[in-house]
This record gives sequence, structure tokens and C-alpha cells, in this order.
Amino acid sequence: MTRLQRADDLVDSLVADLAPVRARRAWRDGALVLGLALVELTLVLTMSRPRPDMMVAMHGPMFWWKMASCLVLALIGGAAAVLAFDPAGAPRRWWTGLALVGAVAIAVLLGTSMDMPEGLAARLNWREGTLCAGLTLIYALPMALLLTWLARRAAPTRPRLVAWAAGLGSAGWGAFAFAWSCWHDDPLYVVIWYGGAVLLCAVLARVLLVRLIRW
Amino acid sequence: MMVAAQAGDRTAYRQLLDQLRDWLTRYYRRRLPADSLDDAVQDALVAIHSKRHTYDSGRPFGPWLAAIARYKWIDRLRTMRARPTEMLPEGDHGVPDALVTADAGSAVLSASVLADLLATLRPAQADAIRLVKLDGLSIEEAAAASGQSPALVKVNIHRALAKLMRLVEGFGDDD
Repeated sequence: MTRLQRADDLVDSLVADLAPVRARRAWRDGALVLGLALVELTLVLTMSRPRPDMMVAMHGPMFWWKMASCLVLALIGGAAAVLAFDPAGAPRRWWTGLALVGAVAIAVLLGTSMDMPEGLAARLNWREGTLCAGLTLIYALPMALLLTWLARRAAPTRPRLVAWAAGLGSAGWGAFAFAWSCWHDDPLYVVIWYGGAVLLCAVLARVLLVRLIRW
Repeated sequence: MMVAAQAGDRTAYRQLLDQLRDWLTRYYRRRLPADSLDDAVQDALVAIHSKRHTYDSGRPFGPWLAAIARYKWIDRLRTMRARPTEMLPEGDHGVPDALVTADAGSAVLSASVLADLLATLRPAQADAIRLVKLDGLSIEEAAAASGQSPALVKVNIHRALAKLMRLVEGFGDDD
């Protein structure tokens, strides 16, 4: 069989296999992500016990800084991932934004942590810290699964970028959802345990997701 | 035509695939060895078929097509890298068949691109690639010719190919 015949046969078979498809729209993926995020947050707020000092904590800046950092990370990571699902997507500017947000968050948290009077071991509280990190990862799982499923349906041409963005976005959302019931506002604690969970989730996504979303 | 194809119009789809086949052949001829050309074109056509729902009619078709073609090109380069090091069969002209392109212009372009890429490597890595992958020497022969140990030749080939792959993957990443 000649080269031309093989190509013709392939075109014939592809034409014969043609079926109508519904075109992917980025806003539809975004709506799914937003929907899951709201469902998860509703479940967390209604089913888990809120932190006992919520009213007091809400008057302090660190509570809002912690929540805002997680939320911004989730929004930028999620948006970058959804945009990068498009083969010709241009998520580089989102990626830069994500790096800037992370750097600023860590710098401010580390800066403010210098004022805390307690000892290092007491501040880190590794027993509760590992629990917080573990729960953050568990809370990140639904979003990570959804983003993986959406990525497999789409045609991402930069799998590594998608994996990092999906990992950071889902970890950011997991941290945001969990933070409502976590009473720790010490910046050092947040940087180490929340930051560690986010980093671990991003690395896991980078390692595992890339294999799953190649096409 | 792609919008019509998404709606199930077979006539429009056949016209589109015929045009795409020609475009892809030109695209890969400048980027791949001749013996990989057909497979690359067919892989890309299958990818376009299976991912046709990801084309958004509100955006231009060209960047979408180019992104898929580039992705499958990198995929093919990765596959080529994964092949074990072996002697490349030579044609009548004394040049490994895998590096012969279909026409003289493409050959010149490929040689130029190859020279630029090799210049980005460390001398020992470039020597290893040149001796084994281009001149077709065995690992032992390349080791004797370059003064490197056989293990070092292998390591240098591996590192060089990884670096070249990073360079190729990074190409065009900017918006």
C-alpha cells in the first residue's frame, strides 16, 4: 500500500467516524469548577465545626490574610488551569500572577511572624500542623479530581503547566475551605503547614497529572 | 469548515482533512526526519479528529491547529528520544537515512537548526551526540574517539537529549 493510499484510507475512516460534537467552552468548565467549589464550601461550613473563636478572629488581620491568600491562590490557579486546557490557550500571564501572589503572601507572612513572642516548637505545634496539612490535602482532592477530568476531556498542549496550576488551584481551595474550621492564625504556622500542604499537592499534581492528561 | 464538521457535516470535514493533510505534511517536513513524516501527519490527523470538540468557533482556527501540530511534534520527538541508542542505517549518500529530509531546502534548514541546537550543548555532550547519533558510531567507538568512558558517553547522550528536548518544548511558549 502506498503512502498516499494509507493517508486516503485514514481520511476515509475519520470521515466515516464523524459524529456531531458539542464544542468545548472555557466558561462551561469554569462554571463546573465554581459549582463544585461552592458545593464543597457549603458542605464544609454546614457539616464541620467552625472554629470556636471565630468572632474574635474575624477582628484580626491575620485571619483575613490567611483566607485571602488561600482564596487568591485558588482563583488564580483554577483560572490558569481552565485557560490552559485550551490547546492555544495563553496562561503564561496567569502563571506569572500566581508566582507573584505566592511570593507576596509568603514574604508578608514571614515578615509578620517575626513579632510573635512564643517559642518555635509551640508555634509550629507539629501534631496539629500535620493534621491541618493532611486535611487540607483531603479537602483539595475533589477539586483536583474535577480539574483532572476536565483536562482529560480537553486538549492541553502544556501538560506540565496545567498540572502545576491544577495542583496549586485545588490546594488553594482545599486550604480555603479548611481554614474556616482551623483556629491557627500564627503566620509561621500557616506558612509551614498550609504552605507545605499546598506545595506537596502541587508536586503530586506535577508528577501524577502529567501522565494522566497526555493525549 | 471545522464548525460544520463539529455539527456532523461529512463533506466539509473531508475537505478540511484534505487541506490539513497538506498543511501538516509541509509543517512536519521541516521538523522531522523523512521516515517519520507519514506517521506524524497521521497522528496529528487522528488527534485533530478526537479533539475537534475543543475548537472554539469564536476564536481563530490557525492557532488551534498550530498548537495541536506542535504538541504532536514534541510527542514524536519524545518518542524518538526514548528509542535505544543504535546505529542509524545509512543511505547511498553516506548520511544516516533518519536525517535525510525530502528536499534540499529542508535539508539545509534541518542542518542549520541542528548546528544551532548542538551549539547550546557542552562540548562533551555535543561530541557524544555527533559521534553516536549523527556519525552512527557505537558507544564503544564513540568512547574511543572522544576519550570519554562508555558510561560517560551514555550519560552525555542522555543529558544532551534531555536538554535538547527542553529547548524544543520551550520554543514558542511565550504568548
